[in-house]
Amino acid sequence: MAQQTLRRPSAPAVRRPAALDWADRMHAAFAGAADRAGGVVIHDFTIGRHPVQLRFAGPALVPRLAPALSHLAARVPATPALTISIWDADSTATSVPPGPWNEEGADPGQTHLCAGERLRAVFYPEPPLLSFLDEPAGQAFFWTRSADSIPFYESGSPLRPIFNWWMSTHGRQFAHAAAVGTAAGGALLVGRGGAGKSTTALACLDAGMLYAGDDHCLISTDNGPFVHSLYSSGKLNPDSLARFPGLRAAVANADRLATEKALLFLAAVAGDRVVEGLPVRAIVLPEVCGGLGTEVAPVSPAAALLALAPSTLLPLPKSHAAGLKALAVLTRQVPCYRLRLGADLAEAPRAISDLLTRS
Amino acid sequence: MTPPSERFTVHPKIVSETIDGEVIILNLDRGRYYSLTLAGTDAWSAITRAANAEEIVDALMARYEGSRTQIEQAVGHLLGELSREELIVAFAPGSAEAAAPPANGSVPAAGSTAVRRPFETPVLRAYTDMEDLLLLDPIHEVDESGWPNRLSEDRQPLP
Repeated sequence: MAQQTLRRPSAPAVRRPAALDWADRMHAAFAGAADRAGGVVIHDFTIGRHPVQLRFAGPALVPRLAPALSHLAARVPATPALTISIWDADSTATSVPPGPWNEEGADPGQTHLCAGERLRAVFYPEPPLLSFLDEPAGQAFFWTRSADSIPFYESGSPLRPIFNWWMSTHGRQFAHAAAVGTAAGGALLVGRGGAGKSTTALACLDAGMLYAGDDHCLISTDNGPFVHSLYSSGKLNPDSLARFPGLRAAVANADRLATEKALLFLAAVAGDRVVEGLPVRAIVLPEVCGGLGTEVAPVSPAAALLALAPSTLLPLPKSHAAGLKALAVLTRQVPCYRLRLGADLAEAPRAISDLLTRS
Repeated sequence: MTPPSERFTVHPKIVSETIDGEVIILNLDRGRYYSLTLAGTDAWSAITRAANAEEIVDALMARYEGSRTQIEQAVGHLLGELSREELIVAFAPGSAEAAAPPANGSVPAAGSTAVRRPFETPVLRAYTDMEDLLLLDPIHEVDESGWPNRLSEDRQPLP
């Protein structure tokens, strides 16, 4: 087989392990990290109705990665279908085993590797974030340099590549969407960044509606369209915080708002209105118009797919045709609407509630 | 028109879905996405069956009212656009790309041919707003023994 190195020509030649070798070395490295950090800290979750266990080598990364998943904590831990072993270099004195990259020699962009459908990895060089999945084994690894190197957006929606890869082979399709609802069911809010998804979703939560996510969630369509919550977090531009005084207590990074979006962990303030999932009754395409009134108009499934699929699939490593097909199935199953947001944000929850009652 | 021996197929890096008479096309490598409607949707459907230009024209003639010359010109223009955007690739029968069975004779058009609609030149709508979010490195396909070495070009999956 012809071989082509992934490293830049200036990088020193290093003998690299083969894929399965590397999986073994990741196991060994995590075990060593846990020993040095005082043991394994275990958190069990139910995500997309699958039992998932996060195993942290010591406590350092727990407050950085676990809060966004807190609403999905398993009431009764079950044998995990997916186990994610997590460590950082600083608190465990354990780096990542030499792989196809290292911090010094990494290409400036992300590097993705796929060994068929079995082994997948992605490395983001700065800050260094390594995600690795051995799919048939149900084993994944996440490594970074230190707790402080976890960016706020990773805390808000942690472990995305691993969840995307694994869930896609277990009946759950990642979706770039917010999800809110009432007792009548849920609405998926879709569109590219800046379309108004987060603000609309938080306005709905603030108005007393149910909330299943503001940016990423999981979809299943086999037993009717259903949105499974993934993260209980929300993100807002700091200048939009004033619109939601009731949510200020949920802000996790109040000391860094000069440089970061406000990151809110909403389960802490909204309790059981942050739900594990909702049956999808409508797809809504918000659009910030700033006019006098908020208007709702039907749109085609194709328009909804155009709003949902590119922003879901293009940023994700190793997106498949199957992902596009799954999102298309969803858009065919429920009515789709455009929501033209007026100046009065309070009208949006009312409009969505009305839609859900009618759908 | 392109030579009859030249057939077209969807580029292996492309995923597409037809919904409600509209095709949504994603170029996963370039971070661009596209849509086609009406005759464009029918042309895309023919391309997914490894049609040549003449067969695509036949498929559109069966569904739309228009002169053959007008439709031939529109198809030629569309094939050029799709090729430039790297959404389709041309191949000759017998080449590796011909793994999918080529269309024999006329390509069946989607839907009923009972009522022909007035022909409108297909427009490829291109959206580039996601390009900034494009993964900066391509995905490197490897086999388990070869990681971290990239799968060689001659083992890339065929369309």
